[in-house]
Order: sequence, then C-alpha cells, then structure tokens
Amino acid sequence: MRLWNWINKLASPPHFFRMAGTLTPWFLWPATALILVGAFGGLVLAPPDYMQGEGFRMIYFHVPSAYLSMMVYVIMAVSAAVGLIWRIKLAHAVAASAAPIGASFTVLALVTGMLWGKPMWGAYWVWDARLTSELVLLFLYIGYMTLRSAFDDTSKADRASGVLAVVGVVNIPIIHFSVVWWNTLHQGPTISKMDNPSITADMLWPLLTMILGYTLFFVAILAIRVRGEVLTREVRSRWVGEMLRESIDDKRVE
Amino acid sequence: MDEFFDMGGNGVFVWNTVGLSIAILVLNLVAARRAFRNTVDRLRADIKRNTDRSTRQ
Amino acid sequence: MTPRRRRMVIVGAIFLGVATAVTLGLQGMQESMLYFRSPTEVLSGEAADGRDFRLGGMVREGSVERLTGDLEMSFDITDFENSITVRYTGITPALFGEGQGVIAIGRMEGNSVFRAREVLAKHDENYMPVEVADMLAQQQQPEELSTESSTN
Repeated sequence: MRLWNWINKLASPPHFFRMAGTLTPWFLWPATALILVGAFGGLVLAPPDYMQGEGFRMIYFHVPSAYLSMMVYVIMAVSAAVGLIWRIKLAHAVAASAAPIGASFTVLALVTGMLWGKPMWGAYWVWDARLTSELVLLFLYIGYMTLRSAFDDTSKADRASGVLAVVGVVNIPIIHFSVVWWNTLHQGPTISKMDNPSITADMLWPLLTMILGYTLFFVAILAIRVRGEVLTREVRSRWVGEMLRESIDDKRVE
Repeated sequence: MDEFFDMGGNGVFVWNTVGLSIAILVLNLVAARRAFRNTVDRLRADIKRNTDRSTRQ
Repeated sequence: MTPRRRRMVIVGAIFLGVATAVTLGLQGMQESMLYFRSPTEVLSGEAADGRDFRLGGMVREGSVERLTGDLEMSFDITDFENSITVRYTGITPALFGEGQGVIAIGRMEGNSVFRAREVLAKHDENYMPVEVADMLAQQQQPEELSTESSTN
C-alpha cells in the first residue's frame, strides 16, 4: 500500500508539475552531452565499415531515431492503457504529449533510412515489410493526433484516442520482427541480440551513447510538454489559479 | 579534412542525415518550450480577463 | 466486479481482439509479405510466369560477366541449392559484388534467364572494421584448406 500511496503522490498534478520542472534540465544537459559525444565517436572515432566504408556512419543517426519511434509508441500506449483503466488523468496527459514527439522521430527514422538506402541498396524506398510497417507507425501517430483534435471534450478525446493507442501497439512487434519473420531488403537486427551483437566494440559504443542520449532527450521534451498539458487540464483547480496569479507579473513560471 | 567531409563519396547522404537529425532534435525542444509558453500565456490571459470582469462588477 | 476491473477487462479484450485479427490477417497474407523469392521457389514454379517479381539471394562467386563492354551484364543469383542467371543493363549499387546479397526486380525470359530492370544490393547486419574482416577471412581460409585436404 505504500507503493500505491507513492504512485498517487507522484501522479498528483501539482507534485508532478513541480518535479518535472526541476528534473527537466537534469535530463536535457546530459542528453545533449551524450549526443555530442556519440556523434563525435560515430563520425570521427569509429573505424569505417569493411563493406559500407564511411557511409555506414549513418547508423549513428538512423538507429537511435528508429528505436525512439517505437519506444515512444510503447510509452504512449502503456500510458493510455493506465489512463483508461485507472482513470489517472496524468497518464492521459503523458500519452497525448508523447504523440507529436514520437511522430517526429518516426519521420526522422524514415528519412534517414531513405538517405542510407539510396547509396547502399540502390533505392530510397522499397515496399518491404520493415519499411511498410514503420510507415504504418507514422500513420498511427497521425491518426492518434487527428482523433484527439476531433473532440472538444478532453476526457472523450482521452478515451477514444487511448483505445487507438492501445490497439496500435500490435504494430510494434511487427516492425521489430518483420526482418525475421519475412524476407526483406532491410537487414536483420544488429544490437538487440544482446549476447552477441553483430558489431565490434569500437563501432558499438558511439551507437549506445547516441541511443541513451536520444532517450534522455525524449524524457526532457516529454516533461516540458506534459507540464503544459497538465496546466491546461487543471486550469480550474486552485493550485494552477494561484500559481498563475502569483506569477502574473513574472515572465517565467517555475 | 576534405576527405572527412566527402565520407567516401557518400558525403551528401551522411551530412544530410546528420543535419536533419540535429534539426529534428532542436525543433522538438523549441516546439515543446513554445507550446508550454503559449499555454501559460493563454491561461494567464483568461485569469486576468476573469479577475477584471469580477472587479468591475 | 469493480468498475476498474471491468475497464481492465474491456481494454484487454479490445487489444486481444485486434491482436488476434492482425495475426490471422498476416498469416493469410504470408505470401505477399515476402519481399523476394529464392531461386528454388522460382524454379519449383511458385512465381507466376510473365509477371514481374523480385528474385533474391547471393551473387554466385565467379559468375559476374560484363557482356558487351557497356552496361550489359549477367550474373547468377543463388540460394546455394539452385541458381538463376540474371541479365541486366544498367548501373549496379555500390555494395553489389560476388558473394554479396542481391535482389533483382524483373521477370523470367524463358525458363532459365531472369531479365532484371532494377538491381538492389542487400547487406547483412554485421558491422566491423576492415582489419577485423581480414582477420576473420584469414581464420576461415586455413579451415577451408584443412577440410579440403582432409577430404582429398
């Protein structure tokens, strides 16, 4: 029961608002540092690949964005499910805030993939199972956001879009295993085989650094967006009114 | 240095990938901050309008 | 049943329903989910005659021939059981080469020749520096030699 109390306190909007505001820079700056280190490691320090030469360095930008595009969807779907089942408003706020971020990283994964595909495969785009299912992911994000915007009432939007988010999560294992279940032009997984990644250590560390950096960056962006979302949803509550009135002359709301 | 930017003949693809990735990361941060700012400004304006109205009455 | 319990069941049921439908749908579409056919599948008559399809496999070692000096070429795609000769006119991607993965888009010309209008290179999921690749190749060669000598 102590855990339940702790969750309730964490999920209380004023507490979350304050905590997220404090924590955001603690995610943002390490994320920036990790991305800079990872990019330097990937573009300069890592040796060229025996097959793809210098062109393989696109992996350091394509893989983190593709990974985030799926990770963010899972976070969105889990939040939506928690919001639907436990009626936690903060969970719906997290799901709604994650969608535009996830959509942007899906676009990035698709575009960087095209830029990598052209020189290596010989085509920007092919309709194999991996590329097609990743495109479906983009449509799921867009559908989720469009569905939300169709409702004036926030709690109705939460419920309808939440169901779509939960249902759409079936696409995530399809994306991941598409290269295993079916034959595709896209190659198989490199680093998810944790016991024996098919990449040497001097090429792997910048990639893992980038993935961690992107993840922390996402958490920071999500925190900023959820704070705004919480304010809008809680505008009638006393703490928001007091806070906004107190700081009405200030430029910043901390 | 030229060799570094040429990326074994794939410079166009590599540097566009790098540039677009940085652009999306920065845009995400800017868009999130702007959305938060706009929310605060909008809610504050609402509150101000309501207090003005109530003091006038 | 508490309301929360009921909502849990409803969300779970919707998810399971859609997951089942998608799984069954994909099972049914198994054929069309495949991006390419192997030479063995094609030779056993699985690919429709006279229609475009994608043929995939490895470029057989020693099979690449530039035919008339310009861009006309031919090579064999193999799955190590069967192989099909491909004729192609055009530029090949940078990763195209003997012993490399390849996907050719086109149709059969007669029973044994595939006329490609596009050739794509398929690379694998392994990344390593040149030195490591050389080292692996050296380790493999003596093994091959020893197995050859033992069979001789």
